[in-house]
Order: sequence, then C-alpha cells, then structure tokens
Amino acid sequence: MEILNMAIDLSGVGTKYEIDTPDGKVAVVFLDTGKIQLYILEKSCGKPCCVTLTAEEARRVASVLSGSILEREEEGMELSLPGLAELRIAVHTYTVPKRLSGKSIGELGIRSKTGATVIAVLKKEKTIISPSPETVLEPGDKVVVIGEKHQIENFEKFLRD
Amino acid sequence: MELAVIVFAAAIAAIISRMLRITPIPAYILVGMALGKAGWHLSEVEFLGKLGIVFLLFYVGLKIPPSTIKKTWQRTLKSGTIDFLFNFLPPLVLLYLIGFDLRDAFILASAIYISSSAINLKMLVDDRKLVFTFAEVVVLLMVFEDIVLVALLFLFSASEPLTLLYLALIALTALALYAISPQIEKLMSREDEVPYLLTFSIPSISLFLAEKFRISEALMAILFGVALNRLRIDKMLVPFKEVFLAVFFVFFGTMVDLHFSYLSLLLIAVAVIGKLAGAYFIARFTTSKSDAVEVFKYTLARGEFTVIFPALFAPEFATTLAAVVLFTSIAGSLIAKL
Repeated sequence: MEILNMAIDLSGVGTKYEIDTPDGKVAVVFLDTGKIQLYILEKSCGKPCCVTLTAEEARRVASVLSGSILEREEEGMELSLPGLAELRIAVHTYTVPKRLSGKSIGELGIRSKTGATVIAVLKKEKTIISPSPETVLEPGDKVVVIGEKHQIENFEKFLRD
Repeated sequence: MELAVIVFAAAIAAIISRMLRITPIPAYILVGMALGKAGWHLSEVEFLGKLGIVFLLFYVGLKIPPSTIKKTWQRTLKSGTIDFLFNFLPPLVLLYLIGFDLRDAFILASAIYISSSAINLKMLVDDRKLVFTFAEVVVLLMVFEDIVLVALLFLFSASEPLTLLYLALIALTALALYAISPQIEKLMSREDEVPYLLTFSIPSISLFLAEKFRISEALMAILFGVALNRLRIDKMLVPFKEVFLAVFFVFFGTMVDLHFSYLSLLLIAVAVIGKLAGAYFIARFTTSKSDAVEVFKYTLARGEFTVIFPALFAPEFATTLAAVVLFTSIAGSLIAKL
C-alpha cells in the first residue's frame, strides 16, 4: 500500500513530503534555507540515509524519476509530458551543412520529406523561434528540430545524403 | 569599538561552536561573561541587544502560521498540553512553595518551560531527523510553546491597569496591520532596498512605542509578527536577527556573574526532569513510546526564550537562568550525537 501524504508544514524548518512504501519510506524536505533534504529510510533500518541537494540538483533527480526525459545526449533528448506517457517527443539540434545553405526551409521541404519540424534557427546574431518557411538557412546556423524519433532519424539522413 | 569587539568575538565563538558541532548560543553567553569579568559594561550595545530581542520575537510571530495551526491543532494541543503540565506547573508550584513570590515564580517557570526553537530545529535538520514522525511532533511543540509565549508576555505586560488600555491599542494596531498586509505585499516583493528597510523598521517601531507607552516591546514585536504573517518577509529578517541576537546573547552574558547557587542546580534538575517526563508521555500519546528519548533529546535545550525573560522582566535571575541555558543547550547538543 502506498500512502502519499500531502505537504507537511514543519514551521521554522521547511515543508516535508513523504511516501510510505512496503520497502520503506522516502521523504523530501524543502528547507527554508533553499536546500533540499532527500531521505530514504529502508524498512527495519533505524538510521535514514540522507543527501542534501541544491535546488538544481533536486530538479535533475526529479526529472529522472518522473521519466520526463527518457534519453539525453549531447545535442538532443527525448521527453514525455506528465500525464501523456504514450506521447514521446524527440528534440534535436543540428548544424546546417554547406550543401543545404542558401535555401529556405520551404524550398528544402524539410517537413514534407522527413516529417520533422524546425522549431528554431540559431544564427550568429539572433535566434528565430518558430521560423517561417521563407527563413533562409546559412552555413554555421544551428537548427532545432522536433518530431517523433523516426522523423528525427529521417531528418538526420536528409542532412547526410 | 565595543560593537566591533562583540560582533567579532561572536563570529569566532560561532566558528568554534560549529566546528565542535554544537550550538553557538552558550559560546555567545560565555564570551559575554568573559567580557563582563574583564570590566566591560557594554552600555553602547545595550540598545542593539534590545533590537535582538525585538527582531527575534518579530520573527517568531512571523513563524506562527495560522493555517498550519488550524490543520494540526488537535495534535499540537495534545503534546503541547503535556509539555506545559510537566514543564511549567512543577517549577511554578515548587518555587512558590520554597518561598518565591508569585510573580518571580511565574517568571522563572516561564523561562525554563520554553525550549529553544533556534537550537532544536537546527539540530533536527543537521542530525537528519526530519524523516521521522517524532520530528513533526517536536516542530509542533515549538509552535505551541511560541503561542504560550504570546500569552505569557500578555500576562506580564498586563500587570498594571493603565497598560490594559495600551494593550488594547496595540492589539488594534496589530489587527489593522493584518488587514492591510495584502495591500503592502507589492511593496515587500520589490527587488530594491525598500523591502529591507520596511522589514527593519517594523520591529524597530515596536521598540520606540514600548519606550513611549511603557509596555513590553517583546509583546508588540511578536504581535506585529503574527499580524504580518501572510507576507513572506521572514527570509529578509534572518540576517538582521542573527547579528542582533548574537549581540544580545553576549550582552546578556555580561549581566551574569559566575557563582555557585543551589537555585541554579534545582532549576537545572527541574528543567531536565520535566522535559524527560514530558517526552515520555508525549511520545506515548502521539507516535510511540520508543520515540520518547528522541523527543527528549530535541526538546531539552533551552536558549533564546529562557534568556529574554530575565533580560526583560527580572535581571536578578540572569545568573541562575544562564546556568540553565548553558547546561541544557550543551547537554542537548551532546546527547543528540549519541
């Protein structure tokens, strides 16, 4: 049986959230100081293990546990949104090769050929979010593409060939 | 010059205490005792020490959260009542029986009844105890004691009939502050210096009013704190509070003159036995009997509240109560490590 207690207000200390599982108890305490204590108390073990995390570290642990980032590599990641577990979205960044530069997104027909969508173009001087089909790609530009995993793979092939 | 010496000495005391992993409060008092022995009178910093009390109580008021109290009132009341019965009544009766007048017995009983939130809550965090249910019980106990503190300050302030009128005025002011607090929320969340200046001015005003109307600055500060509870200004207050409170403890130390007294011994015994017996019944009626020792460890230490009573109302007990604070705070820090 799993009992999730809602926030327990520890006045003067912080706020505690805890979950009881058959294996033991896990508690997260948001301290007033801004640090976060993560406790694990294994059943039949009197002494808890505790790690103190910064807010940033805690967020990273949270995203791993929540599964919102399924895979993470240098230039991209695959994520799912809370509550929509079956929906997997991949986001990836690529550098535009010389061969494709000088043409607009529409001319290249990226979406019709690969299924992936360019959601941002990072140029040296500015970043264009939601670029129009007329946006012209230049060598050295970075593009951010979004799509399903196989669409991203298509895009990668499109860049190479 | 005095201020420079005090703050610097307090910083050294804090560094050493933290290295030994005990609370710096007894070290501050010892620094004060040493300076006092050396003939320092510290009149210059007396005012800053007073600010320390006022900021502390303002902070305590800010930390009495009405919503939490409503939610947990039954649990709070149960353990709080046991704590009160074992730690306030016995010293009161005992001191009265051995010949103290009622007012002195009341002040001494109040002073040794209230555990130190500053010490015990910090210990719960540092010793990584927050996962346990008993830690919640301890936190609630501290909240309950804070509420009783408001009542006790009321009692001591209302001893003269004239002040009753002023008390009513203060209560009205607090109520007005409570009512307008949502309106000043915007002022308090600015990014510039304005929130700090306002935060600093509120407890300072209570010092001024106290002088003017001869009513307890402590009571006013705590009431203003409760009134402004909904604003999130406690974090801004922390740096002021820490510095002024350290100065206050050192200043208090200079009031202490070191000598052996049976009264100190008696009060230390009452302070220890009371929390021990109380912890047993609190644990029994809230979590489980096996938590009794833990509840005892994290409620034994007396500190800031024990010291403000003699500082505000009865300087003649400074020495006696300093002994209680020194013993229980050091013992509390040490036995928690076992």
